[in-house]
Amino acid sequence: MTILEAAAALRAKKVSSAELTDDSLKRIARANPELNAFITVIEDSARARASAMDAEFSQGVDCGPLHGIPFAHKDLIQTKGVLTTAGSKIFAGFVPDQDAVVATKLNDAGAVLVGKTGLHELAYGITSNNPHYGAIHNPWDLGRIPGGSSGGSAAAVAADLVPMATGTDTGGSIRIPASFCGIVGLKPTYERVSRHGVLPLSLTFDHVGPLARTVRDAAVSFHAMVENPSGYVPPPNVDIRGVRIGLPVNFYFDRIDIEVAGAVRTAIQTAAALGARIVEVRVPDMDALNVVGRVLQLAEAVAILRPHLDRRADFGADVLALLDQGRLIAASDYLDAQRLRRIFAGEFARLWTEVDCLFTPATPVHAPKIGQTTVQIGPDTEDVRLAATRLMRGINLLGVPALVFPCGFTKAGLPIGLQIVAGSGQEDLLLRVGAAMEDATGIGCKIPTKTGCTSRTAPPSPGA
Amino acid sequence: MTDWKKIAEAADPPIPAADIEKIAPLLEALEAAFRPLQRSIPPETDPWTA
Repeated sequence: MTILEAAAALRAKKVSSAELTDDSLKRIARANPELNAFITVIEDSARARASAMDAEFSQGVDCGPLHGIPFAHKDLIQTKGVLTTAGSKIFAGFVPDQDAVVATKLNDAGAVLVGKTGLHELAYGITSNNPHYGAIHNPWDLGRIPGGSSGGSAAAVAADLVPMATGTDTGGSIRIPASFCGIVGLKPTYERVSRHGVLPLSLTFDHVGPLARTVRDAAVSFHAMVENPSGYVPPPNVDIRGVRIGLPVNFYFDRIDIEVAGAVRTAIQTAAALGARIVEVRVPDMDALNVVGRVLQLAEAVAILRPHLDRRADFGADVLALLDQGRLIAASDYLDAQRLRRIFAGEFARLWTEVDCLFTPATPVHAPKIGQTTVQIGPDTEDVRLAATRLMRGINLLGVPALVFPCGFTKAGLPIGLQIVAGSGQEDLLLRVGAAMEDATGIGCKIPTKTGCTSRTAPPSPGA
Repeated sequence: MTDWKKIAEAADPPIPAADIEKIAPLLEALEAAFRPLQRSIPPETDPWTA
């Protein structure tokens, strides 16, 4: 059941929050041994909270669409009295004494927290193959990664263990797992959702947002996370006639798996058939922006984690290698990277006079296998992390919002993600266009299995 | 180009030699891509702010 379906059923008294939460907890108990999506499940407090939400309904209190809906937090979002590990040994015993702002917002919206989801260690990577808490598995193929760093959140939503989970995105960490797991991920405009109380990875480009199974569920979740939400939820038969969609003629379709490129180009044809105007555009040098982003990321992460570097043995090898590199970045190089970021932000802003949004592939490839360190794209071999972040990292530096949702499946039945990018503050446009595409393609809301992730539904044909 | 091994050897707390061998080529590649960009920055350019 989606959030909006469950919300309607709750108000029609066809189901209670206690029943929804019990269903969620049962599915977690059944599937988590295979998926490893959760680090902590708070069964007793979730049941108590659900009963309290039912009592509020019976008293006429209605906090909105998330009231009584079970959900999960990525395990770097501080939750009062609930273990918050950041997927690390460093924070293995950390129990916060206060909630992050986003946790408070979702509490105020009446949502029912059922647990904390696993992630790549310290959110510093994209595989979610965690050396301390084990590998998280992709519900579409248990031998493959869910992506990361919000891998547990994506796996939990894709397997229908919860209808929504929070994520954070520093270089693609909401959007990569959304792409690999065939769900919806929204990276909002920078600082649109408060980062206060979220264990940081960067100081200037961490983002917080929702992962959900439909665009409309992502919309209501996003609105619950922000101050002064518009409340916009795309209506049925949402109209995108006249929307100017930018089709990049450079960068975004270079070194892309052929099935991914085919599905995204089919999606662009679908948008055109819905009345959108497709406009070919040249984007700024995104390869250069990725270089800038790597310099910034290396330096900012070590600025945060330096106090723990005397505990080398408590870091995974990949994270430690990144932190060691970050320690050696000169302050002048960091500042120059921030100056280059300003230049690129100005160049990119000019795009929004030509188009309303961009359509791009989300990731150049489908989900790699667990333990795979490189991917093959045509004749090129590329590091898994660099490939997965290649189409996304620059968007973090620009601070603009981006929405990822499934636009097809490979012949092997693995999801393919589409990314829509718009100017700052244009989340409602992304949700509008995304919902129109979701309605038109019928690809959203597929669930890989209902019985512990050992089988999957037959996917539609590629590009369908 | 920067001698990343020399800089890494001076780090405090220390970086083990085997780990230096792993990260030095990564930093060399990043530096090779970054320096030309750095040289292109107009002098009046301020750092990015949110």
